[in-house]
Amino acid sequence: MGATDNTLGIQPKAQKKLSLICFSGDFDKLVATFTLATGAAAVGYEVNIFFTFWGLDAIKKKQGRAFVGKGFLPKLFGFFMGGLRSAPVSRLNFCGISPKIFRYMMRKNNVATLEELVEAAKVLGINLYACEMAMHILGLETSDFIHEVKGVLGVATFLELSEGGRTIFI
Amino acid sequence: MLPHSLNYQKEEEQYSFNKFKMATYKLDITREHCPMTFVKTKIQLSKLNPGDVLEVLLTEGEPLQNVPKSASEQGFKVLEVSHVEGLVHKVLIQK
Repeated sequence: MGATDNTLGIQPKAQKKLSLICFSGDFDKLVATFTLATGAAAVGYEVNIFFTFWGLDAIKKKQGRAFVGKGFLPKLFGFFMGGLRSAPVSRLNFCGISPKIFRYMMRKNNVATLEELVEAAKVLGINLYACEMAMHILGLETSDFIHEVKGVLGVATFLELSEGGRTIFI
Repeated sequence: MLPHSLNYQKEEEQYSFNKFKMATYKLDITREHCPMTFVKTKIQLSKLNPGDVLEVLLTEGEPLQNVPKSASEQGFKVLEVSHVEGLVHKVLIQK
């Protein structure tokens, strides 16, 4: 994978560090993940996000429903999981209507939408990593992810990266 | 390329003081909410040249308490914090 595309050349001072484990692919929890991540990066934290299981949805290149993955079952899962734009809310999803309502309410109240938060995360140079094991199960390859994903990690490397900072599981 | 939502209209005025030409940029985050108050300030500051000044309009509460604080923690110089009107305040930050 290419290096993080930090278009503004922001160099976080790396004195404080926040590492997030993004396990959930739910819309509301992804909003929480990216709100914390961008807020922390903006006030000078070094931020790492480790995407695993359902969380991998957030960094897929294809943002809607698509047969992503290698093999029949992974493709089927890939389709039903969808991507960032198909993320359901964790409660009261109402067959996928709620995320659309939430996006509308967020825009109406001038709150950053999930897509805007993800774009901000890329601009702020937040380090995005994918979980090797979850990728293996879901038949995903590095080429299935957005190019800002900095690398594929296992537990040991994540622990090394997050050492000395705070870690949050969402 | 910056996404549209993070692209700011540049309002530039040339000031000449201290023998250096410095540009002043304006950023209005009075309608923004957390975390975009910090995010937009940080992105705009990172685009400035050393010596340039960013005039940030923000509201009382979290933005007023923490935008100047986080800017100075990151090595920027907070030149002025002043009340404009109602809940709106102005912060001048120099890179």
